[in-house]
Amino acid sequence: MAKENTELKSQKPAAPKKRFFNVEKKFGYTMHEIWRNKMSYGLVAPFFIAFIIFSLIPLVASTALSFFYYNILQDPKWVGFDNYQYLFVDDALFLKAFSNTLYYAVIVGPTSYLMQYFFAWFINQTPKKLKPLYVLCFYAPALAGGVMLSVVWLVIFANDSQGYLNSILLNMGLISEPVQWLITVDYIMPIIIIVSLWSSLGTGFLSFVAGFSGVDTELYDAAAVDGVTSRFQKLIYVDIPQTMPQMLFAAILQITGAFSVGGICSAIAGHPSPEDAALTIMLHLGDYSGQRFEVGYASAIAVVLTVMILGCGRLAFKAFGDKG
Amino acid sequence: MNRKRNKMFRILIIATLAILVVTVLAVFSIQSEDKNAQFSVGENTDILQFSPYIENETRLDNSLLEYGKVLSKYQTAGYEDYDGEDIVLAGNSFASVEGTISAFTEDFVDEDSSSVVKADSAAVITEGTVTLNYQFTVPKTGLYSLKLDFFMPKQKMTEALLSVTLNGKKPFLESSLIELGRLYEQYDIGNLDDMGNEIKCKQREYFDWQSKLLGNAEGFYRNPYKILLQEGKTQTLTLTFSRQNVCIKSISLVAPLNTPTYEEYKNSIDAKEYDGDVLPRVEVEQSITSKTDMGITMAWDENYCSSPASYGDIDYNIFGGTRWSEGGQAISFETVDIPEDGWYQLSFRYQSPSADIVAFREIKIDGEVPFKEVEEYCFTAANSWVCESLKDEHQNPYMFYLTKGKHEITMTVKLGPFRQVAQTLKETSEFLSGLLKKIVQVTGSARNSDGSYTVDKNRDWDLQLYIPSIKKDVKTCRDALYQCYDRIVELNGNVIPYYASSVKVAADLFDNLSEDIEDVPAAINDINTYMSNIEESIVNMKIQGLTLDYMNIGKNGEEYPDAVSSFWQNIYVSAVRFGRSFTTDYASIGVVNEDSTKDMPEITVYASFGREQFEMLRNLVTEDFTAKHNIKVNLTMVAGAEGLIMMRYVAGTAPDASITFGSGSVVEYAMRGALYPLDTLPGYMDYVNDEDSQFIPACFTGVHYKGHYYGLPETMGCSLMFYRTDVMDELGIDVNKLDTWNDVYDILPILQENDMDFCYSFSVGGYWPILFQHGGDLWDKNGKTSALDTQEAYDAYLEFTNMYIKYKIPYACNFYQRFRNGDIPIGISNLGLYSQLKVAAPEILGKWNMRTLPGHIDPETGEVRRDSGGAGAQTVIIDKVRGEAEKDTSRFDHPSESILNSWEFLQWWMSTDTQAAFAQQVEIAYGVASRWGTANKYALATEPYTDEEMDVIQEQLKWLHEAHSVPGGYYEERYMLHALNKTVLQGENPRANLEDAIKETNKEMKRKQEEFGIGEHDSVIWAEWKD
Repeated sequence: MAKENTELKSQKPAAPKKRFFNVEKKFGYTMHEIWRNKMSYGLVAPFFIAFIIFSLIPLVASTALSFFYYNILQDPKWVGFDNYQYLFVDDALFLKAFSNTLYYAVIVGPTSYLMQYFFAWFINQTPKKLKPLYVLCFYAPALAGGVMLSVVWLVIFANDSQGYLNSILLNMGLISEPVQWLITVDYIMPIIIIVSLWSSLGTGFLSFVAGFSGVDTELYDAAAVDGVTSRFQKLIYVDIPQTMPQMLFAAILQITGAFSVGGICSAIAGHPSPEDAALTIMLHLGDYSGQRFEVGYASAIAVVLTVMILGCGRLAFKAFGDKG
Repeated sequence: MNRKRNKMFRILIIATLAILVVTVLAVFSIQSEDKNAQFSVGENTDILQFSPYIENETRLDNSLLEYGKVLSKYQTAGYEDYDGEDIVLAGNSFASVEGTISAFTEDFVDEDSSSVVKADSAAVITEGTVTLNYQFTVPKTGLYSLKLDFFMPKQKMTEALLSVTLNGKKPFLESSLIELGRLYEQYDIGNLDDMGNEIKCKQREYFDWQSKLLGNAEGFYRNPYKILLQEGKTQTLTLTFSRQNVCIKSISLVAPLNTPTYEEYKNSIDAKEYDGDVLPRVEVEQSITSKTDMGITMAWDENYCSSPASYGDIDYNIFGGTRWSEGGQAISFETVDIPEDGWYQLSFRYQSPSADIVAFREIKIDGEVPFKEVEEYCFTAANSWVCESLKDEHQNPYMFYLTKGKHEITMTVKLGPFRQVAQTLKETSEFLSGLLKKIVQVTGSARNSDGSYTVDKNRDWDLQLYIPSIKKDVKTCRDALYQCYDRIVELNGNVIPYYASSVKVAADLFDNLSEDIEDVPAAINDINTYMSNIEESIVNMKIQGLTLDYMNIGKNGEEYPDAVSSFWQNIYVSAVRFGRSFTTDYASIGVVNEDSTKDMPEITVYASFGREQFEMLRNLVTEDFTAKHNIKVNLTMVAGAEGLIMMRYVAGTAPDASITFGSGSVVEYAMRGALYPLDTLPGYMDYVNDEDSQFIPACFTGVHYKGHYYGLPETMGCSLMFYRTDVMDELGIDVNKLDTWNDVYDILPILQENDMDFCYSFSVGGYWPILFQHGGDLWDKNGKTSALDTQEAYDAYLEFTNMYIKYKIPYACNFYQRFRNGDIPIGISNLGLYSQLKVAAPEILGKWNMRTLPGHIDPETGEVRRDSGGAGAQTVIIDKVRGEAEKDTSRFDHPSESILNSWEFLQWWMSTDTQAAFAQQVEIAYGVASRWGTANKYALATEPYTDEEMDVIQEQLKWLHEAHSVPGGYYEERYMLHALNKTVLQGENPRANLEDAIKETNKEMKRKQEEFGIGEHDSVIWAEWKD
């Protein structure tokens, strides 16, 4: 490492001179630089190749397809902005899906984010030996989400009097007949939100835990010298600035997750759900691509969704980006 | 000091751990040694105790009592077994007869199995339901067994039902449910496929005279039935045969079996014990001579010690398993050559297919049970392979006397001493059902939609005032259940079987309740649940599977250490299998004669079947289709043909044809140009138009798009009205009069007065039949708009929603479960329920029936319209031409060779012979549980439904009515679901809800029509616009 660093320093001053000659030279210089840092590129390559194949190409292809009529079985047909026009002007269900998604994202996004941060912080206060145990306990729901959903939550919210919640309420005398939790339009979204929050301590949470344990303990001593006394002050003045990168990472994950919610909704309320109470953009998209074979239109929805996510992502970068 | 303490501490921990490990190992080794020790099952006779819930049950007439109880009465009265000569009544010596019979004059020859049954002048052949009366006198008052000499002529592969009455009365309750079964054999054993794997042997029915002592068909009783005959008087014995034709040679009154005990058996023969070399094994799966059920088949096991070894190439090496678990199922196999007369020990290498379940088997040698102890021999539970000799409870092997030469061993599934437990549990469950009704009458609890009761826990009832016996009843229940539980555990070798826990839980509940009678009304839901759990336990208790590998015949005390594989052998097997997984092409297992088809034209066909069904299909294709038509078929097993074909289609590697293609997808694919219009192919339109076509016209509706047909029907089903005959009789309802929905509405008050209900699916699929019956349809004539805006559709909508609003039939119900309980004794379901009831609800066997759907009177013809849907999967040909060339319709005049070959294949597959053969093979392998619902009506007629069932199904199929598939049509179903939910669950205005659905549907349809360029005057369904 050290040797490479010295090399870097010794050659760098020579580079700017070459740069201004011509494009070919410039390209050559770039290739040269890449070759010189081949080790780093090699290390990035596995992820980068996967990223190109599984994320970038589909993203580009999908953006392109959104201007076509494409039903998979026949060749695509150019339709210009027709898909977008229908999406914004005609598709009443998209509005419903949009509002449901927003409702979900606005509540689950921040709540779950704060939960992740504070649970990670709480766990950081516990003795070192117990930490992994706590982490496992809180992380488990995210791991076992799918299975637990049917084993635990659907039983709790079962519509008959044998469902746990109904049974408890009946026993307490609060209701006289079982509530149809998963059919009643007003309850569906709140139930989905509760279940999502329960299983939301996922990767973001882990990154926070890692971030907290990476904070240099000397900083606490330094802070103490500077007059910080309470744990809360430590959080504000040491922990938050120190875990900025993790906060950014978790925020991006959170935004993507919240906007692309879908599976959990159809698992709880079914698809189509009663009066589309649980219809989200993702489900709407799946509906068009899977059931109606309108992949072009589905792509347009996907593009809109991507733009929404990117926009919110920008905000997150603004908030947690390179300042700290 | 500190370090020393640390060291001490460490040593302590290590020591504790070591002790723990040793203890665990010791416990395990003791257990495994003890596990297969034979235990005493205690008293085991056919006599059943009288029900603890019925006072003075003995006074009841014999025809209402179970055989075991009647036997108990005989015993008390001191009747003795007859022991004289057989009294033989020839088949044609009957005094009178009802129904059609014929004489057996010509030899019966079956070419398939080359069996010949010699004609017998004394025999009669029944046809349909036949009642024969025989008159005779007996020399001595006593108990007689009945022996029937008969053979089953070739017909559907099910058993015949025999009902016996004596002097016009049933001698005991079960006498009307005696079954006469068929015989099956295996052939073509040991053939190999191209890769060296064994191909499963074939099997067929064979025909021969059977001589049978009439007994319980389910193996419930240990010995054949005995009936009491009085001397002097003329006795009339009435035999009623139904379901299948039977050829009866004679019926004899014989002395009941008197099998010696082992002691007597051992002393009765003077011979020496065999002391020679180890004899070769009897490979059971290869030596089967006869079996009563084709479902009991060979399988392969990868254990190192299974013989012959099968962890490399597949080599079928075991027999039986879960399929050989129902009472009465018997297998016979031939032993190896016995070198000399003498006493031999018999050992079996076996395993229990379900953990911790013992299995009772009757063991016969050359048709006779040698001694009492093996009339119901208990194979102790073996969770891994063991090789144990048949032995007594002191672990001394039983010795069997075998003469020189080969012998036939017959093993029959028996219930064993569980019969008393099963009986008591059944009585308990029946009693609880009655008690529950009484309690609900007092508390007036309402039913929830799911069948549970709404319980008001804040109210107390003085139950004892209304049901004085309640305290005693609860205690009786508790005692009976605890007794049953203890007996189950005892009989299962002191291991708690999985089904016992629900008995224990129920017993505990009644234990609690017996202390606080006031809690009973609050516990009715629990009682209700436990009741059905107990019934489930009875069913599970009767399932006693056993997997056999081989039998060893040897000298006393001979042991077989090579029967159990060691840890390292297991590791070796795993390694070999792992290694082979890289080289084996699993798709081509079972492929034979790849070389001979090299030069033939090929087609690729997708089929989404399970492995075993797929193998059957492939065998049929190679043996029949390829051989006759010289076309090679590359069959590919897929899960969900449609999705995969879409991907393959885009990639340009689609198959030529697909079977098992979802009918909903056909038009979806067709309108996007992915399917070939089959009506342009020679002969297709004959299937649609011909009077004698093997298909029902309605099956074609769903594949009809723009004047073309895109699929050949493959499967179909139908909805039927199921009802409980016993409950309906009790309520005095004549189900045969329920012709229209109005008739059904008329009986609803009677049902609901008795806390019962009617079940009809609350779903869009439930609305369509009502719509059709009103004369409505989903779309207008040309499939351009929704046709739900008609008066008929609105009437149908009101009628359907009113069933739930006005008549309050439950909109959510577990029909199957509640039908079994009897609290929804009538309802509508598809044929799936038929299989389910046949397989999993033996306790109501014979107590239910099916009928055509109720309908509406057609004002024009005056006929009752019973329309309902039921089209299933389709077979299709893929149109591989894409792009601009697709639009050229003249290419349909000259179909390519692969299209014609595919068409040849589809026609072959849907032909009556192929479908009948396939249906039969599926039935053999899986039983009624997955009966093949072929769309070929002639093939359907060969399936083993009874004649009455078949009549009902055929009648209902005449009313099969399917809607067309149109672009955007799925929206109607979706919005109708919303509409129904709003109208019924939220009580909104039905007309407004329906209008909403129509509006949204029309909007989507219009959008889709634009997408596919369908103009204003283009028909979606027909080639031309229809007015």
